[in-house]
Amino acid sequence: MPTIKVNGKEYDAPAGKNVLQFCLDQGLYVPHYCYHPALTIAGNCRMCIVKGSGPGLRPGLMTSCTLPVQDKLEVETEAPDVQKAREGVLEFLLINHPLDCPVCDQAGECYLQDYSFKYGRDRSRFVEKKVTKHTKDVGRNIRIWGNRCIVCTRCVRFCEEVAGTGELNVVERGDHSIIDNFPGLPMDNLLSGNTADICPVGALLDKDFLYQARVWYMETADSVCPTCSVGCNLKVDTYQGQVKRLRPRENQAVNQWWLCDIGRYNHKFTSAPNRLGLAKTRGVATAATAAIAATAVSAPALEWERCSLDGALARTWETLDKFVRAEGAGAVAGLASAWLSNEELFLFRKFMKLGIGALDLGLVAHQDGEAHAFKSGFKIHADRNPNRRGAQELLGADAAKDGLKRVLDGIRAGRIKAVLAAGGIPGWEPDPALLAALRKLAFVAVLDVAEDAPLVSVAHVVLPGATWVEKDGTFTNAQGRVQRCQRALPPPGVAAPESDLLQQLLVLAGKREKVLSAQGVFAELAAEVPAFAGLSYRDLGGQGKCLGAAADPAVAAR
Amino acid sequence: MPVQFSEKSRARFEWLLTRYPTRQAALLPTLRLAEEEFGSIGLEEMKYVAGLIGVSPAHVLGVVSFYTHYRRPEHGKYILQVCSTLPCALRGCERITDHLKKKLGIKVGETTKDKRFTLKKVECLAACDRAPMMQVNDQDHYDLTPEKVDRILDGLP
Ligand code: SF4
Ligand code: SF4
Ligand code: FES
Ligand code: FES
Repeated sequence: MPTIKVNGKEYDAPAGKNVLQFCLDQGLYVPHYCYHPALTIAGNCRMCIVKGSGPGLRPGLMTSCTLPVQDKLEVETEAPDVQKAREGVLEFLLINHPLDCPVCDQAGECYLQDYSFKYGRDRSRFVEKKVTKHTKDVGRNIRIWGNRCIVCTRCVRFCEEVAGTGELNVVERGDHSIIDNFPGLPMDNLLSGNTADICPVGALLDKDFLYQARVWYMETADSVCPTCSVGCNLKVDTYQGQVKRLRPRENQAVNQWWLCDIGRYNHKFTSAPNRLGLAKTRGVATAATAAIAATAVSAPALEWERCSLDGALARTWETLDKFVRAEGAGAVAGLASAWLSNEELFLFRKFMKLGIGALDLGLVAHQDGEAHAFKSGFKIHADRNPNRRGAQELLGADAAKDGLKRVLDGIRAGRIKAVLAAGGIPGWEPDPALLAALRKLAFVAVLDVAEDAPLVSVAHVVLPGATWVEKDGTFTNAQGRVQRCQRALPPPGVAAPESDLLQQLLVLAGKREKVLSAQGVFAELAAEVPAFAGLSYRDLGGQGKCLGAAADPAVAAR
Repeated sequence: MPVQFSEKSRARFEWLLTRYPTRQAALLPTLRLAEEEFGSIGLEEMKYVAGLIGVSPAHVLGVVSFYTHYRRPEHGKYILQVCSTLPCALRGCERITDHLKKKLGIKVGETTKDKRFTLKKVECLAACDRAPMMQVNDQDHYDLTPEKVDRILDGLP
């Protein structure tokens, strides 16, 4: 392996690797704009300049992103002439820049700001008239402020190399160069939002986040995308109790650096006016007795009454228990949701099995969407649920696949009289046959997050749950990777994580002493469910771990 | 009518491909070919060429807009390209441009109302020894003075 010297210190470095990435890997920061590890090297911004010398190399200043590691290479990243060159590069990059940071969304996370602060001069010698460029939409989600663009071509290369769609390019030349799309062919690929993330300056901005918040006032939680079974890692940025933005979080085993637009923008439902913040019931007392007398009143015919959360939980447990006593445990069935966390699915099954003794468990899930694959290999799955895989492990593969059908058959046959169902699936269009069947029932208790959720329309009791940003938990993605979501916000009103609600039902059933944190439930789950054996929140860390990792080193390496 | 090469141009394009290491490398001469065939290069022509070469239309737009020498649909019958790079600048090209602006009543980058002339300032056209110079379509004119420019323009058909 070649030996190179960086700032006087020797390193073994892999031949051919670019010196910029090598320095970054060693924790030696070298400023850069156009270089991005996912993209081909362009070498156009000159910000990564270092002083280099070595065999066959004319010594001097050179761009480190285009400099391959070779034996006896010597590099200095902080020499006075390097500093001077950086200063010059920044001065050039800023000559036509409008310096409009006060109204720029990128402010606070802008590399022009940061590098100017760290490496720049405090004045410009440019007295000529600035060249001005277009501000326009270059795609459905993205707008360009051309005056801020430093023409690093990250966005161009992203569209070419990652999305494979090539909508953006540099047009014109010299100081008139600017990013544009071909007229009539906007950047509408399903990865377009990533261009705003990788644009190092405030040139490409996300219209969804435009003027929503100054970034330094936002709070951030690490989480996972729930919108499909890929389970892209992301950050949830919130401000004043609302999700403002989802941003990708690097995980090379899952999403590399990216999020798709379908997942990225699927957060509005968390703060929609239809969120359930209260518990409510309708006709529960009559329902129980009437049903047992075989004259059930279907829920939609009844008026809602407000109810405390504790009251709703108690009524849920008591009513289900009455059915069990009157009709046997087979009269009660459970429908879990592929949007519940692993912890919640585990608790759901536990309550149905231990609390009720129910025979039938099924799974409801968002209808399939279209699958997409991109040039870089990035995929969007047709399975638009975060945790179908977890449900297969925790409810049983059979229940997850055929349970729903058995529950429906049981309802139609009159054997099943009451159901506890979990929804919480935004944009769900359930099979009308499911709602028709549930509508017939004497008692339906529902865990959900929206007033107008399909399951709420057939419920007798509604227990308000939490969306994924409002709770701690884990999802298991399609590849079997268990990944953590961290709570970014409190749920609205009296709503609570389904994990808490299900534990309270277990307490009411006398099967649990107290409500544990999601972490506590996960420890319990890992101890009881073999597929999860050996996993804990601590070693899931920020990147997750695959099922079976503890038992199989080959899996652990994934 | 859909934009499409004649058989002759198509054959010429195939021949061009054999002259370059990659399809993409044949983009510039293919655009020239398109210019000859279609008269100028507009959006439809760019899309057509993009399809032929196998690059995105945005890529072709980038190339066409980078160069000053491709004829665009909005251009006049005569494109006057006045070189403005250093040797020509030292020999007074600014005077030539100013004269043309006044004579034609347009700014640099504009076309006269009668669609006869388009005025452009361009980079070095490789005739520095006879600066200042301009190109009228494909024809070079050297050692320009305002009077000479008048004669050239007046002599155009
Ligand atoms: S828009 Fe942003 S990413 Fe694209 S070239 Fe300009 S600065 Fe770079
Ligand atoms: S690919 Fe799936 S998990 Fe990833 S961002 Fe898109 S919807 Fe979310
Ligand atoms: S990062 Fe090396 S030239 Fe831009
Ligand atoms: S500078 Fe004008 S032709 Fe070279």
